[in-house]
Parts: sequence; structure tokens; C-alpha cells
Amino acid sequence: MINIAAVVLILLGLYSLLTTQHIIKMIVGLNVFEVGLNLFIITIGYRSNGIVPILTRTNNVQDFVDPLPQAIVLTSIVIGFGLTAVALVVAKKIHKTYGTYLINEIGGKVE
Amino acid sequence: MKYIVLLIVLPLLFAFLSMLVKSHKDKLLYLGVIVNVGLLFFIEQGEYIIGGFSKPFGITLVLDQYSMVAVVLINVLFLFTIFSHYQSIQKYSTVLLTLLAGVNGLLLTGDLFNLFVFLEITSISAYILTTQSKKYYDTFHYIIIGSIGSGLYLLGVILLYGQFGNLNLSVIAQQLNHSSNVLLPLLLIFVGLAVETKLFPMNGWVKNVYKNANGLVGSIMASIIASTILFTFGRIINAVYIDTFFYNLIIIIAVLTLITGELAAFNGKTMKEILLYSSIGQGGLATLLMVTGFIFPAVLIITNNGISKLIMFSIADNLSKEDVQLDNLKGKFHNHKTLGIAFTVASFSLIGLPLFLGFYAKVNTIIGLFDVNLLLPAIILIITIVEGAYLMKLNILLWHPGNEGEAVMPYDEEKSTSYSMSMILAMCILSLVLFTAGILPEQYGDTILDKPLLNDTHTEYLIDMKGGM
Repeated sequence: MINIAAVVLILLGLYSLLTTQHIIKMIVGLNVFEVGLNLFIITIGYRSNGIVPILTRTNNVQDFVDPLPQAIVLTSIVIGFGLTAVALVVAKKIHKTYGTYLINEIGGKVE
Repeated sequence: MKYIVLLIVLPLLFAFLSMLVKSHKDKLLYLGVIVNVGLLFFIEQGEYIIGGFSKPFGITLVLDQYSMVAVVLINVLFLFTIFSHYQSIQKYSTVLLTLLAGVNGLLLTGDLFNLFVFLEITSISAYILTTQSKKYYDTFHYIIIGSIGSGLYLLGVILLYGQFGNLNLSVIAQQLNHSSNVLLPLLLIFVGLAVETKLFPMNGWVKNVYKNANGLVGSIMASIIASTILFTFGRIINAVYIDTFFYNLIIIIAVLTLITGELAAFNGKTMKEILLYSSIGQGGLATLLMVTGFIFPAVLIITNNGISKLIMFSIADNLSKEDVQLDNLKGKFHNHKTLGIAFTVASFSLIGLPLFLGFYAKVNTIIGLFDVNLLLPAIILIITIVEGAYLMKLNILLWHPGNEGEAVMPYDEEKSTSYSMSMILAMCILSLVLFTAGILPEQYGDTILDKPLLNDTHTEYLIDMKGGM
């Protein structure tokens, strides 16, 4: 069920990237795409009645959910953060140069 | 010896240090790259386990003949690039060091997720480098396409992980067989990498990014990043079993990329336009060879393209600073004869004329592709003629100052001022490499690949561990 939600988020992100004219909204769309992706990664490691993969004296390793996708998601979130930061800096520069965030308005000003 | 991990770690360390000592950033860049090139003398082939976890669990770095050639080529080209553009590196030292770590990681890692991380490190460095042109809208375009590409790559990798429970490419390659249903993950991985490989529908970003790039950024993008991604792409494509539909699909896309790229280059109005479309075409050719399994010709094509494009982009930048029309560049080489010869050597090698490395690349390509079918060699031969036509036209224009019969009028301006000695030296050495590799191919073949050229184009030997990276 959750993986369907993840795919919906991925498609929603792609849809917003394709349709919006506003650069900041495009970055938000990119983030929705990434969140969907991260959610999808988490669902790969899911197992019903699984427990948090932290080894203690009382729990059983057999019941753990797969910890690797969680590690992957952590890395993926950090990379997504870096990417968003770069994209926002570029967006700010675009606004400074062209005075607008709208692609259709920038279109006429780019040589 | 585990020196190999230092190829990735040291540039990262130097990048971090360069943030602390900002006034000596450029010296740290030189130091980092020279140390990396020095390390190349000590590395040995093999598979290295990183972090103490054995193979299916931990990350491995793989250095076989294929990645050895790739690592040596990329690091040496990097050294030449920063030395020939020493005026422009100060501002980008940290980014360049991060980029070096990224490209070395891409070439060496044997883990698909680790590859994604290095792909992102490389891409983010490339995004930052492209802001040099101050055309921020083009950079933004590149960021959006690039991040969707890497997102799709990650999705494909995760689907593979869900299916095989592993991320190590060699382990996955062993488990893959004819009955595996991996079309969707492989398609996603292919589309993800195709953005950076500049394959046909995914290469819309290339034009604007390359057109406005200066010599440093143009050389880095067209020579270093392009070669690295092609090497990575070849590794993955050859590791996994591909069914007929997917095989044909990639061949069609690669051929379309080759044809559209070269035809667009033929129609190019400015020097950089010609070079950038030619890069797209060469990317398509290398992809075609990789997917048909001719690794050795593909390596030759990538090497030839990497060296030639480094020379051509570096020289083109100073010749046409404002991206002027071709007619305004008439006879420019009269004042820069040495660089002119280097440029001509690079373009002849790119066409594939005898006496240059490109000849052996093209001969191996065509001999190899005759085994696949007769159409592909025919297409490549025709495209080579197109390539020859526009590069010859460019050379004649740059050497000949006016119309036929007119007296030669050398330009007064810019004589030897716009080119530094280090650049002239670097370009001469690189063109000499293209030339000696052309007249003594066996020497290069024996020392680098342990195989003579023009012999045994079927190439299982290059990639030792199927899927190792």
C-alpha cells in the first residue's frame, strides 16, 4: 500500500516538474520526487511484524526489517539536501539576473 | 597494497583542507592531482574490500585492466586540464578536487549504490562548474534533468536490490540469467545514466551548458566527465544480461545519437557548437560499441575522444571567447602555429586518419562491427565522412586567412598573449601522445592493455570480473 503512495509521489513530482513555470515550485517538485523515491526505498526493506533493526539483548535478529534500505535512504536524503541547496542558490541567482522566477518570462531574456 | 582507496580519499581530504586555507587553494589542487597521478605508479590490479565487510555485504573497489586504463587516462587528463588552465582554477579548486574524488569513485566502485553517491558528487560538482558562465538558467535546466536522471538510476538500483538482495554489481551479474525479469530496473538505470552519457532524447541540456563554458569547464565536461560516464556505462551494460528488445533499443538510441550529433555538428555555426555536437556523436558511438560488446574499440574511441576534445575545447575557448561566428575566425592559427598544429592533430585523430590514435580506434570499431551486421559499419563509415567534412572545413578556415589568391595578413593582436606557456606545452604533449599512439600502436597496446591492437577485437579480457567495477 505504501509503495503505491511512493509511486504516486514520484509521479506527482515529475508531473509538477513538467507543468509548473515557477522555478521554486520546480525545486519543490524535485523534492516531492525525491521523497517519493525515499519512501519507495524504505518499502523495499519492509516486512510485516518486523522490528526496528537495533540489536539488544532481548530482541531477535530474525525479526528485523532490512536495515540496508534505511542506510541508503539516509545517504539519499543527504544527497537530496545538497542538491536542493545548489538548486536554490542557482534559483536565487536566476532571480537576481532576470528579476523573475517564471520560466516563460525568463525565456525572452535568455540570449 | 590498498593505495587504491587513496585515489578517492585524498582529493576529498584536500578539498576539505582547501576550505580551511583559502589563500592556497590552487596549490592544494595541484598537490592533490599530482599525488593522485603519482599514486597511479603504485596501484595494483585486484579487488579491494573497503571497511572490513566481505564481498556481498561490504563495498568493493575493483581495479582490473578496464578500470586501470580508465583511471590512468582520467587522472592524467585532469592533470593536463588544470595545468593548461591555471588562470581559471583558483575559484573552483575545491569543486575540482571533489570532482576528482567523484570520477575516481565512479571508475573504481563495485557497488551500485556507491556508484549513485559518486554520480551525485560528480554531477553536483559539474553543476557548480557550469555556473562559471553565469548563464544560471542553463545550469538550472541541467540540474533538473541531471537530478531526475540520477533519481531514476536510484529507483532502478533499488528495484534490483529488491529482486536480488544485493547491491554488488558482480554478485548481481552472477545471479542474472535469461529468465530474470529485470527489464524495468535496467531501463531505469539506462535512462538515468543516459542523461550524463548525452544519449539522444536526454541530451537537451548539453547545448547550452557546453556553448557557454570556458576552456576549463568545457574541457572538464567534454573530456573528463564524459569519458568517466562512458566508462561507467560500459561497465554496467557489459555486466548484466540484456534481452533482445533492450539490446535493440539501446543500439537504435546510440545510432540515433551518433547520427543526430554528427549532423548537428556539420551544421554548427560556431566552433563550440561543432565541438559540443561532435561530443554527443562520439558518446553515441562509444555507447554503441559498449552495448555490442566491443570493449576494446570502445576504450580506444573514448581515449581518443577524451584527449582530442581536451585539446580542441582548450584551444577553441581562447579563439572564440564570445562564441563568434566561424567566418570571424579565419586564419587565426597564423599567429598560433604550435597550437594550430596541436588542434589539427586532435581533429585528424578524431576523424580517424592514419598516423593518429583515432585511426586504430576507427579500424577496430569497423572490423568489430562487421560481426554484428553490415548496416552498422556502413553507418559509421558514412558518419566518419560527415565528421571529416566539418572538421576539415574548420581546419581550413582556421589556417587560411582569406579567400584564395589573397595575400596573407597576420593578425597583430593577441600574439602569444592569450595562451600561456603551460597550455602550449600541455597541448603539444597531448597531441604528441595522439601521434605516437598512431605510429606505434603495438607499444601502447603492449604496455597498457597487454594486447596488440588490431587483434582480437572480442574483448572479454579487458573486464576481468564480469560486473566488478
